[in-house]
Formats: sequence, C-alpha cells, structure tokens
Amino acid sequence: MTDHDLTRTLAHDVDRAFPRFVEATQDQLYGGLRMLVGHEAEDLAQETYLRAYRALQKYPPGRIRQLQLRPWLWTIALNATHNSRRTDARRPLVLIDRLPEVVSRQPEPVDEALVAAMQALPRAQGTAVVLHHVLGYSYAEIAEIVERPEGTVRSDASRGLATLRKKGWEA
Amino acid sequence: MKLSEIHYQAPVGLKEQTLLDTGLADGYVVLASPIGAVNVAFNTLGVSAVAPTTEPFVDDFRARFRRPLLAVDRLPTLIESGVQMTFETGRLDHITIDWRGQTDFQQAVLKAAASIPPGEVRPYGWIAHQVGRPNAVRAVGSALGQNPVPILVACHRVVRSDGHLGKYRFGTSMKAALLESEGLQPAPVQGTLVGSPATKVVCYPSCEVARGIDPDQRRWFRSAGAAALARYRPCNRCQPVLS
Repeated sequence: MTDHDLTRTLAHDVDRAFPRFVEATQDQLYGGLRMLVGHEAEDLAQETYLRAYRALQKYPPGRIRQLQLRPWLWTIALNATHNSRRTDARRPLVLIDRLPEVVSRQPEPVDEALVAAMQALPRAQGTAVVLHHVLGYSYAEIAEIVERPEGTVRSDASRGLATLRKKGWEA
Repeated sequence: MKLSEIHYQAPVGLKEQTLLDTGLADGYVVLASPIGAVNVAFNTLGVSAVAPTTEPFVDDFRARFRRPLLAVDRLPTLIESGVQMTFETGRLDHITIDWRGQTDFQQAVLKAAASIPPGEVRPYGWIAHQVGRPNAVRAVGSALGQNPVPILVACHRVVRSDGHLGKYRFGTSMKAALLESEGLQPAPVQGTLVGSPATKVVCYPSCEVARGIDPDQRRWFRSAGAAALARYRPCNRCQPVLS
C-alpha cells in the first residue's frame, strides 16, 4: 500500500487503517528515534503513535487527506522527545503472547557506537543527519518538520556529518 | 560505513503496544476472583470482558467485539485496583466499564443489576420496573445473559420471583457460589415478599430491612398482590414492585 493509499484509508476510517499506518511507519520511526534518543526509543515511538492517533481522531477527513504522513509523524515524534517523562501509571504493559509473524522477525543489532556518536551531536545536527542521511528526507521536508529555515537544516546536517566522518561514517 | 544503509527494525510488539495504548486492541490477564480464576479484558475505556477461565475466552471475545485481544502481564494500575476492590466489596464504584456494543436498554438493565447490594437478590421483574419497561421481563433476562462483565456487574443477583436462582451463563451452581460468597443465606423462603406487621413495610426477603425483622414477627406474602391487598407499602430500600 502506498502512502497515498494509506492517507486515503485513514481519512475514511482512522480506527481500521491505523494498525496499517503503524506497520508501514514503525521501522523508520523506531530506527530514527533509536539513533536520536537511545533506549527511550520504544517508549517514545509508543507515545508518538498515541499522539498521532488522538490527532487523527480529531481531524476532519479533508485535513487527513492533505497530511504528508511520514513528515507529520516526525513532527509529533520530535515534540514528544521534548516532554516525555512517563509516570508510573503509564508504565508499559508487557505483552506475554506473540503473534507468530511477529516472533519470526529478527531485529538487527543496533550499532551502539553510532548511536553514541549521534547522541553526542547537538540535537539539531543529530536530527538533521538522521532525517536526511539515514532516513532520506529532503531538506525542504525536514525544514517543515522542525519548523526551521531550509538553509539552517542544510548546514546542521553538513556540520553533523563532518563530525561523524571523523569517526568513519559516510553519508 | 554508510548512514544511508542503516535500517533498524522496530522491536517485537511495538505495534501491539500501540494498539493497546490507543484502545484499538484489548489486553487481558488472569485474576483470582470470588469464584476462582477469571480472564479480565480491558482497554482505554475500562473493563471490556470477564469470564471464568473454564470458559472459552479469546475466540469468543474476538468474535463478539471484533477487536484484537492480547495477553499482557498485568492490568493498568487503576483498573487493577478497581477490579480487586469490586471483587472484595461487590460494589461497582471503583471502575469504568466499556459499554460499547450494548444498547441503551441493555446498559440500563446492567446498571440496575449493578445497583443491587451484595448479598441480596431481586427478581427479573424488579429490573424491568427499574428501567421503565415493566413488561420487558424476557428482554431483561436476555440482556443479563449477554452481560460482558459478569461478576463485576452483578447479573447473578437477579433471580426468579419465586426465589429460585434461575439461569446463569456459567451455570446455576456458579451463581449460587457467587451469592454465597457475598453472604446470601440460602434460608428457607416462604413467599416472594416478607413484611413487618408493626411497620406495614414489605420487602424482598434478602433485603437488609427484611432480615432485620424479628423472625417470629415476619409476615410472608405469596405475591405482590397479596401484600398490596393487606395494605403494606413497599420498602424504600429494596423497592419491591407491588403493582
């Protein structure tokens, strides 16, 4: 299913389409957050989807149809990283049964050296590098996501990349 | 090493957690209840289903509610304490119930059943009166039979007007066990209503007021009509139907 189809089905019925939206976006969202915030990534991804769901429930269909889903999700995720303290009441429940297709997934090992290097960057540079060089968003899209001028995003990405190059990483 | 070649996969279960968070899936746990182990399902709106572990649960739930159901390690803190409190006190004051899928009539019936004090019983006709549909006694029975959250919502406290326990989805012996666990004495019932000649007040036999009448003074009535004819008035507490 393309993102365009996904947007259309979300506009038609949020509850029915939302699980597919999560499936389609979770690797990218989690992967990017894993590099930006480390081990809080799973909690933050959950928080991001909860906020996204609540927003979608409120939006009229016309507004949902106009969403750029993935950049929109990242806007929510980056906002969530700024105010993300879980209380005990929000302590996550642990699933104790697994759907067979879920069990068969083999998560790739995370390169902790890269995560550390990414987290050592100033927040704006890390965000720009992850969104552009890892996840492939254009500078214009990132400018929308972080609500900063495109030129600033471009220079953040290049400064961040320069630091990472010294540690052996290429774009 | 190239940044553009990094692809991390989301951890196992992230999607399911998300569905639980948003209420698009329900979670469930096994808990000890007054009648043994029960499955308790919940979502963001509250408790959605309860059944003894001797009954099929997961398949029934999915067929009835058409939502995913996922086993989890515990209930959310507030629901957990509310369910435990309700099991202890028999009163549904501490939890919210997910009423989706229940008609207004079904909800009204279930809420009327939940208002019966623990250790007491009321006839089906009493519920019908309470919900303003005095002739809908059969519909009351079937609404109670469809109760998604038995034990918590006390459909087991609704019995036949002759004092027999009547049907229960999980069997009459479980109904008896539940009522006994709440302290209902299986005392000999000599009529449908019992009154006090001193006050001329008439009650359902399990009502606290009726149990306070001196056993030697009790006047039993075979029917509501007989009590009305003797000019007894209905107890304010159990509100027996006399008309």
